[in-house]
Amino acid sequence: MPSLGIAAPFLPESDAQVLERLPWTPGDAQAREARARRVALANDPRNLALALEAAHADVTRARAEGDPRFLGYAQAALAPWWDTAEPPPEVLLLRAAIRQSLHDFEGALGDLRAVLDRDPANAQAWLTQALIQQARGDYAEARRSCTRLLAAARRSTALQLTAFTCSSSVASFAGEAAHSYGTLRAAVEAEGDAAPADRAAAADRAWILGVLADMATRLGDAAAARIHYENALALAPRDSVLRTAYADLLLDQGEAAAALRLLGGETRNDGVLLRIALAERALGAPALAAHVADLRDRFAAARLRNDQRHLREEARFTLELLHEADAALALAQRDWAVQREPEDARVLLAAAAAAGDDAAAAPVREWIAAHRVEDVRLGVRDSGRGGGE
Amino acid sequence: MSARIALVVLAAMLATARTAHAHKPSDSYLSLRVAGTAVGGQWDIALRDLDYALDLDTDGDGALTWGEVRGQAARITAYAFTHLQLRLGVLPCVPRPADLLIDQHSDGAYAVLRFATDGCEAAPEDTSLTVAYGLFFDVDPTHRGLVNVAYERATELRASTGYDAERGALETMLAGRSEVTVLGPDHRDATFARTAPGALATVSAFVENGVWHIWTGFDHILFLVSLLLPAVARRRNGAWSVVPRFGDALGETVRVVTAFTVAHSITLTVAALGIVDLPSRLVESLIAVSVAVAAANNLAPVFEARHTWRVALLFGLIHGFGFASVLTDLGLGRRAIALALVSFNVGVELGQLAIVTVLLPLAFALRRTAGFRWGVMTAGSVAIVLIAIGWLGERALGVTIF
Repeated sequence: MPSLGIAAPFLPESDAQVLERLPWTPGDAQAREARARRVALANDPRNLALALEAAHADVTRARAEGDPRFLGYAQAALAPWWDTAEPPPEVLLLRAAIRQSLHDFEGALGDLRAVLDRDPANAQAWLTQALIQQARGDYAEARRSCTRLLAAARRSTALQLTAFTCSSSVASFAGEAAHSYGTLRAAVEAEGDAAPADRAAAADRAWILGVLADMATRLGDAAAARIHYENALALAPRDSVLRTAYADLLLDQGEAAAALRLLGGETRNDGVLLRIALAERALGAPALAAHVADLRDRFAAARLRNDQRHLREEARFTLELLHEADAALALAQRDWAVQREPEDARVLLAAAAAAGDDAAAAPVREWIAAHRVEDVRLGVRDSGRGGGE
Repeated sequence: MSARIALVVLAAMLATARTAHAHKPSDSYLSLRVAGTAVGGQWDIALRDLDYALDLDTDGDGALTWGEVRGQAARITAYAFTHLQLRLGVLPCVPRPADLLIDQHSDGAYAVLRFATDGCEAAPEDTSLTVAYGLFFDVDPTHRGLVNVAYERATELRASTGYDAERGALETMLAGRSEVTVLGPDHRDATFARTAPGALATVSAFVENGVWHIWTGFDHILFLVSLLLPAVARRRNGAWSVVPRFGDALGETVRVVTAFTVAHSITLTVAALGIVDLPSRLVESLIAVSVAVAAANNLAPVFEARHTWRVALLFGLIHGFGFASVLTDLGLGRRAIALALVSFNVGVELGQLAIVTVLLPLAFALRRTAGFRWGVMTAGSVAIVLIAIGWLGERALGVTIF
């Protein structure tokens, strides 16, 4: 398939030549556990508890490393229940998470509705639903889901901060940015700096700090956002979502060298590689051309497979590194039809401006006005008081 | 598992709505070629996926070496080919692995399995290929097989070493290459119809090939150049005689080129349609003779200037047979031949016209210079005669001289 820019196949010269680094290291405890679970599951594929444990671990890993293969492994673990008429609720919740990660939002919401029909107090399902609705820009729906989550969390103090983060996050997108940032920050500080009890609690705390960092970024308080990101990454150092978001902030601040240090060498991850290339362009680094070529190949491969997950990144790549405004605009518009987060709005506005197509930016302007979105990166701050800077 | 842990994991995970999962997902690339009823192909499979299914990293150090892959090549090919079925009509094509190479894709190293197949040679010529794909779906249902099929017309397929790339590309363009078809757990089978190429595709392919053929066919160019140079200056009774007016040179050029075109069009047609079939060794040898004669005429006149167009006509008939061999090599079917023939000929004329357009004004401008007389007309013609004699030996005797 020549369109992929594949070089000619070759015969390696020596047996010692390393062809591929696998996604684990010698003595990797996580990998050992995963392998043991796979073996156990292969012998007992209908063991639900074991399958759920394996799928959980894989989905968590998929998120941490931005690697969709782990979503497939999770789906394989759930295979005996995946296509049944009424999968157990735990399977439905994981299936929703996997489908959401593959950008099958409708499928994910369907699974969550099925869970909530049977168990209207399922906190997990309300939270998952709220975050999907938020990502799609359905803030009224998301707010309702967070309210139900708060109600469900009343029975468990441990869930209350998570539920509060949910509603603060949604509110921060819809006209209450400064207030929700202030109250969430106060709530997090009230919890104190005690080290999280376990890995899951650390991931939880990192997520909440990430939400705070994002709020601060949108409010234009870069200094506070950087502290939140640093604290979040101290708890979840391998988290590629946090790292790319933090790198975007550093790039916006003109600190390309710091962004490059933060991103490290994780070039397998397209999102990370895109930020590396943007930083390299800012620094005039020689590796830029090779990285742009790699990104081009990877987006081409995603297109071959009709993969929708990369549209935001591909739009940004096409606009900022290829300087093809019309193509970037088309990608940003397709992305906007699926996802409506400030990052999606931002690339659509920029592409529309570069392409000289003001009308193409109208849906974003309407979205900003309708929800009173505040984000300095979109040129709107405190829109409750009339919009504009 | 406690509600707390489950919730925490999902909450953290779902924040991924903020950025998509960003690695490339698992894909394999299966390229199949069907030539007549010979089926072969190349299958690129990510080493990482093979390791996940087969535990190839035997020393468990997280680094996959060529030694580990090579040592388990038999396991790899056996595993891969038990998850792929190919059928031509109803006849199964059983893969016969040829070699295992490595390729570097944008997201990592892939094993490259090249293979021929056995068992479906007896299928009718125009049968379509069906692919049933099942690789990795049990361990990763998000894996996809990206398949494309090229129907070619060559009678021979060398799966292990590939094939003549340039010719292959043209044949593929003519015979039709499928779009990439994505196969997944819910869509494991696909039948790739043999589609006749569209008229426009045929025309553009053959026009391009015709142009290319005359530009790269050194013998045709040398013949034409040798015949055209005397249009601007020639040796007459031991003295140089220069054509004074551009119009005269142009008129002579038009006469020669027209004669050459008419002649080779006639023989190209009769040969491509199979009405006359001359042995290619004879044709190629006579073409070499024509080049030698045309160039020798510029050293010591063999024929008179007013007969040049007749020489172009006579030898043009031979060159036409040479052009036709390109078309017959492609083994075109009757249906496509008329359009292909006309398009190819148009391409040859365009290529010829381009050469003349550049050459004639240049030669005319330089015709009075010593460089033109001695460098081009004399030394150049000597060189062409020698080259042509070399070709003649090579083609007539079947030996390679250079």
